[in-house]
Amino acid sequence: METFEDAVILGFGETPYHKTDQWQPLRYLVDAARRTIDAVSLDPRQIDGLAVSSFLMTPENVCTVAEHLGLELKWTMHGAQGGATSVIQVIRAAEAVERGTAQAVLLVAADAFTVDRHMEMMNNFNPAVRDYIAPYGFGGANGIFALVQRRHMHVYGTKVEQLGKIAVTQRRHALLNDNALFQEPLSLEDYLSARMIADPLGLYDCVLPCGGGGGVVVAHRRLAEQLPVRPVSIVAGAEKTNHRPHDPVPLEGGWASFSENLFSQAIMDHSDLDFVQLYDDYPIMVAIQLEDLGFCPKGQVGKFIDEVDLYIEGDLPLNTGGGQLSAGQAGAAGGVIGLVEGVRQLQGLGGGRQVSGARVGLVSGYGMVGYGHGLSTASLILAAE
Amino acid sequence: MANVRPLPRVTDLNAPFYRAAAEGRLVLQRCQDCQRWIYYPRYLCPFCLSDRLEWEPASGEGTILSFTHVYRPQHEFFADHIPVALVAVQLKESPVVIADLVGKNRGQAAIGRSVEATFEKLSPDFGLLHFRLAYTESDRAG
Repeated sequence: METFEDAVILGFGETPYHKTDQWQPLRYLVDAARRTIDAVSLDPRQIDGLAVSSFLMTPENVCTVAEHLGLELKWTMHGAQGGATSVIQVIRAAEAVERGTAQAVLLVAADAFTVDRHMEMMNNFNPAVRDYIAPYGFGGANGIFALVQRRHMHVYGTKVEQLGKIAVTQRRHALLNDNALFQEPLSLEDYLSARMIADPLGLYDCVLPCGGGGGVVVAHRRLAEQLPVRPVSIVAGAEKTNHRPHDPVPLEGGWASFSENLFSQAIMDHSDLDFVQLYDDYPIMVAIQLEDLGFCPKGQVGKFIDEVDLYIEGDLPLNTGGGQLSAGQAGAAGGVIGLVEGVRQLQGLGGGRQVSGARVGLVSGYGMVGYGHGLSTASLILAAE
Repeated sequence: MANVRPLPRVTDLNAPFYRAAAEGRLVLQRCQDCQRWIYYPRYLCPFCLSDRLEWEPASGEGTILSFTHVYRPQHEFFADHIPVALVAVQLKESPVVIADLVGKNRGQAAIGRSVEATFEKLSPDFGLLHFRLAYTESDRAG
């Protein structure tokens, strides 16, 4: 749990998203880097920190990317927390910037997936998944999160219609995002009548693996003052990795262990938030984040979803660019898409999907599926200056 | 490789598990220090970090924590097994195992139902653990 005084995000960049792996992973990564650097008007020689996140970049790594780009660095981080990586990297970069270790950290995530390539990755994702789950025909992450959703529905009475509202809301937001891969409206009826993937998960509970990337720059406020940017302050951030270590099918994630502290240290409460960008590999994980981040008591997210307007013009705008569910999941870039969208909103650059008067937002990450669930969680509270 | 099930890598760590499974037995590591049972196989106890782990016979009994029917398994081998009945089982000894349900009644999973371990011998040294629903009155009634 960290709070920051002087660490800010200067701006963001995002590559085009492609329905297939049109480019190599490294190309998405460096394209995200270039767009981000340009967006904040930085001279590349000012960048002295680099954080990268990508499943498919191997054997490229943070050092070889530095070489590819000609960057000389005092601080490097190669992510390993799946979709939680970018949020965690912001926290670590903010620490480095406040200590004076680095003045400007470029943080990028990208990947180049297709459905088949993603399944291939999941079969071999890590030894626990490869050796102890994949032999049973689990269907990738879909099988694992079907177990989570079924249990949440059984224990708490959560309904598919409520989870469907998440998918439907986010699709409506995606129609305002030219870069989102899904541009057709989705109704609750479409969601409910879609083909079953791994019950109770249907087609619209699942993301589309794709190609894309994004990035931000974390810097000291002093540097922001010299640049034509609207900095976004990093108010607070927290990470929890391996929450509930002996519970393979948990109905609660690591956010539950830090959320109260995150808000109290930030001296904010939930009503201060103008939007939330929650990690949405599945609607059930969005639902669990809403509970664990304290928007409602554990087990009552169904009622919360029924009562709260999650649209951009509503009570609690959710995943205002469509999220991964409607924009596409570009591998590890699924961990940066919400961060980029959060910064975009706080800088007033949301265009047709701008949340009116957005000044404070929460961004949340989740990732590295181990034996039955994602192992790593992290969240940030960001504010417009 | 379409007809071959994706198999685990057998190492010095997990070989005893698969050897026992080939003989129709469930064994689990048990920490000799804190006495807890462990799955999936580890080098160190994930509860107390002891390295004194021994393989001991386990009951094979458990209850279903959750289940799903996978219509899009990730590997060609399962094309003839659709839907796969994937299940998370809490063993009597406490560890949770993710595996599949086999047997004619595998479509009748329910959270809380009892299951028992069953084994598929693939070689003298390698057996695969599955679960089947424990026999109930309604099974007898047919």
